[in-house]
Amino acid sequence: MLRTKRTVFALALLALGALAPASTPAAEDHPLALAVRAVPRHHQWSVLAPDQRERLLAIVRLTPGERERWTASPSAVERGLGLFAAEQNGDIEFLLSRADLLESREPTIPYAPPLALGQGGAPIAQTLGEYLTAIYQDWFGVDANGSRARFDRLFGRQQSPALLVKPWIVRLQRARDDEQAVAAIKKQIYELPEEVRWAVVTLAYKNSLMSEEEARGQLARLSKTTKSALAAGAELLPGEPMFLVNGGLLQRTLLEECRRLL
Amino acid sequence: MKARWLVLGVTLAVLTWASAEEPQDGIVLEVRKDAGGAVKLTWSGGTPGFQVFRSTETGGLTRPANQQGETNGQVFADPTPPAAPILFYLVTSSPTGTLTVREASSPEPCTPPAAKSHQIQAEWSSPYRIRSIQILRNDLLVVEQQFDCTATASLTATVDLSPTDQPQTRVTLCYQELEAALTDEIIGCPIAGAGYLAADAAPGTAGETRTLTCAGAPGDSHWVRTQNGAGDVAPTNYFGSSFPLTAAHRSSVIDDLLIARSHTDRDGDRSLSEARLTVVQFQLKQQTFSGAGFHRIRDDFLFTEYAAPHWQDADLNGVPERSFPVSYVRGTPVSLKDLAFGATPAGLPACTVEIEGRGPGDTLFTGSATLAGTDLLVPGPLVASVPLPNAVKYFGAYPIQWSARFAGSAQAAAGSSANRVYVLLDDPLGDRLESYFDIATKAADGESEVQAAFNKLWDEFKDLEVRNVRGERMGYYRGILCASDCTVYEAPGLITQLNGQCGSWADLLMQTARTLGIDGTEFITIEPDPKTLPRDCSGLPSDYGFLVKNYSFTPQPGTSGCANFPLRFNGPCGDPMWPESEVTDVTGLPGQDEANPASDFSRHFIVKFNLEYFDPSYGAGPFTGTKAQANLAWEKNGIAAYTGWATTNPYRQGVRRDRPDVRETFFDQ
Repeated sequence: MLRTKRTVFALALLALGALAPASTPAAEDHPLALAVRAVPRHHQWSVLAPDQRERLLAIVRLTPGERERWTASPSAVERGLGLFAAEQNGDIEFLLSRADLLESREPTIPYAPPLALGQGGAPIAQTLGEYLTAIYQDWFGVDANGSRARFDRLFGRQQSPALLVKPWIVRLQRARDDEQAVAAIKKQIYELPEEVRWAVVTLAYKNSLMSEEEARGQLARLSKTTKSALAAGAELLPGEPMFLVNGGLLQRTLLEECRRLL
Repeated sequence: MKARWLVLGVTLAVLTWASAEEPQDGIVLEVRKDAGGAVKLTWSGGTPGFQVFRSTETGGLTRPANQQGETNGQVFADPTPPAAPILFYLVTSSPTGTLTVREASSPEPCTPPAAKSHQIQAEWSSPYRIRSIQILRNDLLVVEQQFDCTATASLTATVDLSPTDQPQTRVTLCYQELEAALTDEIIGCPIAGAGYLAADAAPGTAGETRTLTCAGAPGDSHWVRTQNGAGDVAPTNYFGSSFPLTAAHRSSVIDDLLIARSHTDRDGDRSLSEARLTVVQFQLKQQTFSGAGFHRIRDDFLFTEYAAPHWQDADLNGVPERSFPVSYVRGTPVSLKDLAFGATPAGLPACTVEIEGRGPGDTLFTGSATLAGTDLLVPGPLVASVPLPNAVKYFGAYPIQWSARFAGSAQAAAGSSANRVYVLLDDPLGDRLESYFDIATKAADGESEVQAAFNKLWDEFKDLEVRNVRGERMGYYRGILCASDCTVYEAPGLITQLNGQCGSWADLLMQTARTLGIDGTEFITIEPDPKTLPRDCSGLPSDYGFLVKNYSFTPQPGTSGCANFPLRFNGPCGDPMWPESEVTDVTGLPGQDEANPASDFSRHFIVKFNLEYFDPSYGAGPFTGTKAQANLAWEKNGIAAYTGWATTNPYRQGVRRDRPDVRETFFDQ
């Protein structure tokens, strides 16, 4: 049943795009919004048809002011595209400021199905809350599950977005084909407070975004105090959302790996 | 009951009174004196309860001092009579009486008052005629009535009796010539404990137990259930000073029962007590799960939540219309609200009934309920006495046996419920479709740690046999070789359509983990890596794909004409573009419920958890180490070759074989 609903929604959206005049002033009839059929989830740009990738790139290139305008639009479709642009630009501060949308049940821009072969396929409907949950999962490694209360539990103890671990991994991942960008991100990582740095470096190593030699070198730079704390299994990042779930399983795994590298 | 009677009537030794005014008790007395001087009396007629008097004169013969004895027989020996010129013997017959003590109202209130209204009826008959009848309570006169020396008479009174009161009746007779107080007496008792009694909801089985008492009743009292409908008690006959009974019923209709206790004393007087007893049947009508750890579940097909009440048998036919699944977080107690039972018969007062539910193990739900019309309603939630296990648990049926009772005696069964209950590690995440709960809790049953639970869940996928909540096995491209022919990309489609792409299997592993309350699973996209694969021969950005094992390659090195993708390949989708293919799909790598699933792809989707990689489509993994190491291990396990364009006009595919020690695919995370 759900599948049918999702398909119907997608077809309706497409029909609207085909029929709406480009000059209609209503926000949801923005020509660019109408031209976009779906957004990729999990960075799967390759599942989009080439023409769709181009249209989405135009959204990604919106200026911060335009992005802000889109995310304030009365149209849930435009707000979804605004979130898309923000997450593609790595504007995590803005994303975290929009946690109020987590519980939105408004249908927004659908997402492209994860096809094993080729591109296209009927887009799959999603609500703003579902979309923002997926974005948070990608960027922060935890599942807000469409719940503002859960978001507050996970992020409430975090003092600064810059001290979150997963965004550094996402940035490295996305910049992997740009050596200069990777170098710049790593420079920032090396300047992080030690209690964050050990986790980012270890996670980057496990994600093959740093070599073992590089990771060992960075961990060796840690102060004796931090090394002792790591050796003792101390909880250095009590506010890290990824360490708050699953009884701290990921923290234990990273600590074990870190101690091996030290 | 002992009758303290003195008497009348009449036969005198050798002589017989026979005036017309004298009562005719029918007694014919014969007196014989033997050689030793002993006197033997024998008589016929009269009613048992005889008294024998002796005197040397007729005046004052019935004075107590002259009484020689009592007997129910018709022979009396006077072995040493005094020496006297003449002795007069008198044998009298007892009056016959019945005292009936009967509850005045039924049904009675839920809590019996200290003193209940009773109707007391005294009935007497005597050949010596009735002068008066008294009804007393604890030896205090309640009412008295005079009669015109009739042979039979009765008197009725309504009296409040507490369970320890002793109602009595006394009779005075009309025979004037005798000087003694000519009376008889019967002592009765009110039955205590009758009222409402819960019968078992299942026909033919025992229910609530109770012991009825009657203060001062002799040990040889006879208790009888004298009237019943479909409702009943067991036993229906009993001898004793009290009556232990159990409610029972034979059908769904329950009505009032009449309980009688009777006793006949030596002179034939009867004491009879009667009480009505209502057997009530309770049967579970509905229950709703709730509580801090409770979570609703959604239907696989409709995507709608299973709504309250989660168990319901509204028409009380024993077949529930609803028996919905529910879930709880481990270590939390089950809480039940909106609990209601059907009550039969109708019209019962608003009594309070004690309710008890017995769940698995030592789990108890206890509370009070109030009768309201034909429903017995529990006002607040009932919380289980012990929490659920502190680990994942699958209850295919979480049975609760309900029972009810009016007073502190054994419970009567009041129906039972059974719901599927899924116990989770933590609050569930995601869509909460029932199949996710079913798969996850069955797999991770007993586990309390996240990693151990995930490992057990993975074992369920690893064996390539995964079934939804209906027991239907799900497949990975079952019967499909062209990947595009399968359009199920996500878990909701997989659990209902039973066949899906790799995306749906990755989603299913993630959704089942999320349902357990496990956070942090990631959806991983795998594609051919353009950094390590050579360009194809299209002259455009390369359009790669990969072939999953197993394939045969002949001849080698191939004749496509494209050096980087030398083998001619006709894929499984569309018309063949080459006259013959030099790459042939052979059975394997097996996937979920399919020995040879589709194997020509643009990309593949797997799952990452706690820095390890799992491929649920093939049950392969975990792949460990760094991402690059896991990637290579995955590739070695599954990839046979890569596809690219060998020619562009027309477009025809070429294939190059996988290099075992070179990573030619990439995981996106």
